[in-house]
Amino acid sequence: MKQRATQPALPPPDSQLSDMATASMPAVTGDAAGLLADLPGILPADRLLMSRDDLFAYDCDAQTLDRALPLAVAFPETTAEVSALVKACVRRHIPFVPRGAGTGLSGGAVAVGALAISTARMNQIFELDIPNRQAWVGPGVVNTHLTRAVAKFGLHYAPDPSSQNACTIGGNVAENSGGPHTLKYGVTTNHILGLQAVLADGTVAQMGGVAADAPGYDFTSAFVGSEGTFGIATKVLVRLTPNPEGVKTVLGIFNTVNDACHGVTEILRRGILPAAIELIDQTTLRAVEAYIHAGFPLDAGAVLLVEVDGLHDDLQQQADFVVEACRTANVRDVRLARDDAERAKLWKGRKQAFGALGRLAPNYYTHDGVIPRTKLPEVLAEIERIGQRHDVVIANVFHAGDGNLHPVVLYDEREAGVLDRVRAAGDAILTLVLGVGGALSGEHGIGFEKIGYMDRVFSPDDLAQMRRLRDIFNPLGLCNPGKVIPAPGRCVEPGSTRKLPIGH
Amino acid sequence: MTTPDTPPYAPASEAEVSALVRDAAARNRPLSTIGNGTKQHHGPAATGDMTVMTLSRLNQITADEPGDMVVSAQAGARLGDVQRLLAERGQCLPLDPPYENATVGGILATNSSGPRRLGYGTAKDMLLGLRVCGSDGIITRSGGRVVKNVTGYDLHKLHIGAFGSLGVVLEATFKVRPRPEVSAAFVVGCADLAAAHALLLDVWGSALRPVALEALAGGAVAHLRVTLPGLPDSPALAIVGYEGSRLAFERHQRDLDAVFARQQGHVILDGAPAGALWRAFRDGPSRDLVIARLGARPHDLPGLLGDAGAEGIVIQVGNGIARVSLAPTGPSVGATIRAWHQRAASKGGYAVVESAPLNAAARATLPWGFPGAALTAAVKASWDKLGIFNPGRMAI
Repeated sequence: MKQRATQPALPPPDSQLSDMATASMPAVTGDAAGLLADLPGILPADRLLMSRDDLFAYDCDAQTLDRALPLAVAFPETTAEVSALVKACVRRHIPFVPRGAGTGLSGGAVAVGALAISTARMNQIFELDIPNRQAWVGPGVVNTHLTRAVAKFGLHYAPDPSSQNACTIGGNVAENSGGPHTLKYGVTTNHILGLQAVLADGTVAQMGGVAADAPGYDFTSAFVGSEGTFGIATKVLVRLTPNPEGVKTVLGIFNTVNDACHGVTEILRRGILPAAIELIDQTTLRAVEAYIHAGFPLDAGAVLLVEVDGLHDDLQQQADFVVEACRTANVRDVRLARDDAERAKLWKGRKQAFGALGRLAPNYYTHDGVIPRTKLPEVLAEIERIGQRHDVVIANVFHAGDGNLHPVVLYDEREAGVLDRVRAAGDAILTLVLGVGGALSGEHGIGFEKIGYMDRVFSPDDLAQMRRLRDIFNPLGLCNPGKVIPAPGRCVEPGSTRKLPIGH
Repeated sequence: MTTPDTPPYAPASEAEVSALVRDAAARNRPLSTIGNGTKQHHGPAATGDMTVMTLSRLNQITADEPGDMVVSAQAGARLGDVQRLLAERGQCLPLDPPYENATVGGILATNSSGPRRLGYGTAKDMLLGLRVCGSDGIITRSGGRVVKNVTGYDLHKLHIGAFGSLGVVLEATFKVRPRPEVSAAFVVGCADLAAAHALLLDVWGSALRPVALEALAGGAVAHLRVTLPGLPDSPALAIVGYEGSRLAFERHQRDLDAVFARQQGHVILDGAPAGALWRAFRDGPSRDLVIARLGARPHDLPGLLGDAGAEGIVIQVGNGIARVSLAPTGPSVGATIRAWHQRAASKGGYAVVESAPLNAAARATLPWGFPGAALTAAVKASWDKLGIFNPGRMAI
């Protein structure tokens, strides 16, 4: 879920958690005062936030419905400092929560009565190994900063979440972040070769490394996507990807979402693998045009933004295949971006779509389900009916090539009863996604937000097995408690009332 | 060596696997799980008295909606059968591991891959989900059947390369790709291994996007010549694998012509001959030799190899993997590999034995792996409390 941040008019309360989040949080029973007394002995005062006023900036991530004040925020700069902080938490039995840029979309960084450990100052690039296309980076390095640092060598870091100008590599590792170009290049886990992490007992563990296929269990791949519940990555070894020699972007303009969905199926049937296939519906197009003037037609039912890349030699042919596929799917108009400037503009429109939607309604709520790609037409049609049934506007802008939906429910929380409708529509969307064999989340994570749905996807036995792995990394449950895997026997009804954010 | 108390059990359903595991657990009797048994010489042998369970009857392809570009298959399904089905609809699972009869489960258990991993990655890059039978006989699932999924922990990744030590893999789901228009290979004769290696590192650093870069010398070259007699007559070979469009293939041809000019001749295998080459790779690894695997950063590898490769060597350039064949009768096989490891470890690399003849005298003492960290022991103890899954089969 994603909600536009608004300024509270009244001093907010210390916490405001959904029932799901509240139910999943274990009681905090440690010695908070003791920990607060310990902290100045570990970090200098200018790298600690402990006053109530300062802590409000850290009470949520980009999913703003779940909020809680951390006990304090610490800004370590080294692995040793992270380890010392974690050990202090263990000694005082106080939970701790890793935090990158706070751009997460599932409440994963909300620190309820916990020490928030920010990786913001661990933003060093330790080693760029250009010939071997690898880099050791700190978890606080911003996604695009890494790409910028290697651009002059013709390389980039491939995973490109929409928040890439702010989000950090450490956060990407925690969430196994995706982005538009994952269709061809894979998600974060496909680009992480190894890491160093402070585990939940404060010990430092190494996983993976510079050499491929080392014998032993692949803990790196288990750690990626564990949403900060297995420990805190303090150094990350990433794979760098050569830039494609050329890129072409095709804009397919369709009268209906249904035609655009068929376009996706047609493209994927042609034996080419585009770098990205993004679908943007009319509601989103209009918002984007009003905001960015990217050049999208206002009267289209939907557009497909398709990118092909590779050697110059077959780019035109790849683009022709895409055009042909769109024509088969009843496209109204299809054209190539004329030049880099137009291409950049179209992509800017796509990447800032969520910001643009924020101008249509004061609040929005983004889902992240993934469906088998052949189900796109029927699922999108049903999502429209869900919107009508629950009297809410649902915009769609998503990674169509991967089947990764982002239905965005637009609303104004000041309208009486609207949250119940938003919630009911959301529940209907997730039920629909799961009903066609889909997944709850493709890239935003479970966090607090979807923890109440986990038992609809996985059996109690599946969840028990996941809990066993978490308990190995995190035996005391102090590392980011209450997230991802529901506690056994705690039945949380996802449809139950969410508390209204106070003061909005 | 494994001594079964009965002929191998061959369960025909998940429920039968579950029952066998429960029975083994009740009797505290270890289970050795195998697919078609193509890699019994990989890794240390299972030790002690145990029950053998073959998964070869769990061989169904369970889900294949072509438009979704995913495929699910049971552990005992042969990769070749999966590929044949996918080929009919213009798709492929881009994994080309050794051994014709290798099964999905065995490939995952050994993290097996082949030359084209440079272009497509390894099992972990395409595995979307697993069903696994745990040591209590309970079947659990992780991941799913969609290509992007962050719902819950990626438990399935821990079973890759785990030699069946964490559970019995029952069914796997992979993402697949469209079959390329062209599958081809450029085979270049080189004066020696170092020349082949250097040439391919240059290609790796170029704008070209090969799917495989293999440098070979010694017995590995001789093996390829048996099936492909027209290959350049030289001590070493450099092979550039290409898959993609015809137009980009022609570009590879043009660019590579210039690179190859200084070498000892080259041939281009396009279509069926390229298929024959990849099959020769698949069938290449010798069962009569010890095969050591060295891993390092791609550009560190040439310096680490030294004079390795007496019997034969295959280097996956760009992946930083070398496979060196050694005569199992040599007194110092283990010592040689340990020395390589020492050297490689100083640069973050490693050297281990990947396979050795089952009757090799020194087998048990070879360096198969490294004692795992605390996490390794903890996961094994948690997921296989009684230690019934393939004890001794993995160096952990």
